[in-house]
Amino acid sequence: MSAFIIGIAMIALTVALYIPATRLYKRIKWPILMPVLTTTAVIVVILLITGIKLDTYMLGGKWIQDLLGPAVVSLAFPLSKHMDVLKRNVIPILGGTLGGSIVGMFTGASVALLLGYPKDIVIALLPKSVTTPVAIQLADQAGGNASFTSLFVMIAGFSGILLGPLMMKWIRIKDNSAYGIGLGSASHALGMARSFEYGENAVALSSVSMIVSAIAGSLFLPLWVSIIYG
Amino acid sequence: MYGFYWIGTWIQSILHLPLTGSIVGMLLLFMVIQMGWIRISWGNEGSSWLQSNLQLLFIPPTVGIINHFDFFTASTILLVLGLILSTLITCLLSAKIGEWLMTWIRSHRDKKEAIPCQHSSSE
Repeated sequence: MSAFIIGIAMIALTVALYIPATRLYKRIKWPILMPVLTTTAVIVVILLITGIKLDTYMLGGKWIQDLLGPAVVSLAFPLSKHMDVLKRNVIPILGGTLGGSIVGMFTGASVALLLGYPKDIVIALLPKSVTTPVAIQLADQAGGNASFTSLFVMIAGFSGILLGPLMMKWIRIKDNSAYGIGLGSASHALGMARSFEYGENAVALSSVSMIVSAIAGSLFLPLWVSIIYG
Repeated sequence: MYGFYWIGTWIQSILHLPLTGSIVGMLLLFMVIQMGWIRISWGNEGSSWLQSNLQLLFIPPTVGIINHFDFFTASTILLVLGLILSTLITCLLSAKIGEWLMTWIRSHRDKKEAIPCQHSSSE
């Protein structure tokens, strides 16, 4: 029963920090102030100062995290709504996402191998651009360290949404929809959240790219593992 | 409104496929909508609310980094830099291929439409 009350308190804490963080971000629009970053930073500081264990926070945090599954499922609605956009762009989406995910996995694994990291870390790194719930399952099945996977997925997510748009502007990508494909296939759901700034088409394309890259990831990951480790 | 999420999660819990339940659930829901059994308008408002507040759902797993602080040693900085670079390559490549294919298809489509026009003018 007390676990229930603590859980509710942790959810209340998270939401209470998230709401002003969102308002702040809407007003200032600096990528560094994205609500996930600010809220997470404040919670980490609170936990470190008060000495509350992560497990205690997760009593409530788990319930919020459990909404990720339905959130992925509910993507079916915008997917259907943008059916015409998707039909017109099937080839760009498939081409962009597949190309990106193959090269992304290759470059990520190469860096880890060159630095001499062990097998479980290399495998944990492979699905870094795949949405968290899928990536964790994939790494786990292939013998990777799944707890590091969530960390790598977060790094890929944040670096993609913070630097991705700047870099895409720099190489002169003009089409807002292409921003959606890039963000969705490199930075999964975080990229999708960021692509709200590039209009409905970008959101639709980034959500499909995220889904395609999750499916591509589950197909390519075992292949990479067998190439690297025979 | 929330009933539709439960339908989604229910579908996902029934299928114990390796391809993660949430994606299978989403594909199933997508097919059901395409067949017209569920109207988009029924779940539209709720799903867009959930998705615009998606960032909230990432806070708990991100807070989990607190247990990985020992991972951040000098040698791992290179790994993280490599990760960031690899992510940016992924992002740029997929966006560039995507944009390139989009313009290619557009010009292809224009050519297709242009041919019958020329025919009609020559007749």
